[in-house]
Amino acid sequence: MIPGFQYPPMAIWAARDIQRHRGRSMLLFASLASLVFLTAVALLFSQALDATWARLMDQAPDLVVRRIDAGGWAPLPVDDALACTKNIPGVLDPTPRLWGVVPGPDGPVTVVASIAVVPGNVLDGIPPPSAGQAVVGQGVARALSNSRLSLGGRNPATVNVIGTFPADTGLATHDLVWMTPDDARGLLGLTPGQASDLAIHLFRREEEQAIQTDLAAAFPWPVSITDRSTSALRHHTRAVRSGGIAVVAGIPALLALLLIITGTVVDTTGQRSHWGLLKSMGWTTTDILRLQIVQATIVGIPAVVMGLASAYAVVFYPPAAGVTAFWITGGQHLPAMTLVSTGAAMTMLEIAAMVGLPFLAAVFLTSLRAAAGSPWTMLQADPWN
Amino acid sequence: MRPPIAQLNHQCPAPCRGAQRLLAIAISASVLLGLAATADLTLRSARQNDSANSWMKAMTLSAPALWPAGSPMRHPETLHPGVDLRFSAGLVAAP
Repeated sequence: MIPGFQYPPMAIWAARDIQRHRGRSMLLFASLASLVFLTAVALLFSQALDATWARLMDQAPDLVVRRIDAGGWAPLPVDDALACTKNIPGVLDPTPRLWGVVPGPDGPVTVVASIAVVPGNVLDGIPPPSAGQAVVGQGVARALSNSRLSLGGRNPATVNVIGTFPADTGLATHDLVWMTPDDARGLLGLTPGQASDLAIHLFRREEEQAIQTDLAAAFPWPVSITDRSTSALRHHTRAVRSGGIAVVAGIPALLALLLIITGTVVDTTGQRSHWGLLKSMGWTTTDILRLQIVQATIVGIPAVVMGLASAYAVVFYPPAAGVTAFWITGGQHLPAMTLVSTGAAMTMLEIAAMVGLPFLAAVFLTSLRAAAGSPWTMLQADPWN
Repeated sequence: MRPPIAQLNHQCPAPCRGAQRLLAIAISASVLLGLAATADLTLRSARQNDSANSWMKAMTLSAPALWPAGSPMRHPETLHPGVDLRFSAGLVAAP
């Protein structure tokens, strides 16, 4: 009860009506909340996954150039490769990359080495590895029994783990083993002056497709060029596909909505004689309609808000978010994700409208049809008559 | 002519106190949950995954670490119809 606040009599009357049909109202509340929850979890997850990937992929290089020969991928001579890209307009900051996939203690890991110095604000207290040392991601650290990490590869090596990437960087570093360039070259079978591939940033991202022809022609050996937008599109497709689960979840949800609406219709028909009594005492059809709408609102709004809030919590807050991700993706490898909430408000409003408006429309139309008769006809509808 | 029931404004009798309480709970719960979600959206959405983004850029990674190492979704640059990944440099011992 809010002190000093006077509720409209119609709201009080509607609340009394809800209390009279307590079980039915609670069932309606639970059905609406569950319907909103199921729909919202799938749609919010899909939207958040898409937004998360889009933001991460925005940091990826625009193009990656890899040398290819008859045996497959081949190491890239760094100096030659940099010289080839020098005169191509629009190419910014060509960066030779040292990376590869090697067997770790618990499956394959991604070995990386940064040729450039990692800025201090990114390091945030993590010590950069020296020779024979490595910094590992959470997924690799979990498989370690001590600080020694044995890695396979062209030349198997054992390194000393001196640090772990923080958990909140897991989206990028979950399976990484960061070591010095010399250690990485030794492990991957590269000689000094060789790199795995060349990452390129562009002055204008719109030129991503056009510049690939110039790049391919500039190298004296065959290359394969991968662009960022193709990878981003692949991720977007995956996110949309995971949103397809919303459709699967939507089928029982729609059936539940049908049951709720049917329940509302049956309830309205059963109340005809009661409304006939009210009309014979002076109530108008508009009064009865307003009563039904207020009653539906008192139950519906908290149910929709509760369903949305629960879905928001299980999608955006770990560890529930991890469980949801595991459930929706069918157990796909996912580190602990913190999902981006951009666009979530719009999705929640859409779901509220998608469920709330048909519900209110059903209440309005069925009530109008039942309450529009004469009081005498409505009184005759009493099953005891 | 009597006014419509909606326009009647008199004090609630004692049996209606429960109804008032129900209304108060419905309104306050909806408002509180709505405000909490709005506040969380406003406060958290501006700085999500900043650390992961920084490392992604610092290591010039091509894709997020959402798939097992060695899979094409994790390393899209290794995907080529003419290359058998089992015999590629760097992937030689990968399963």
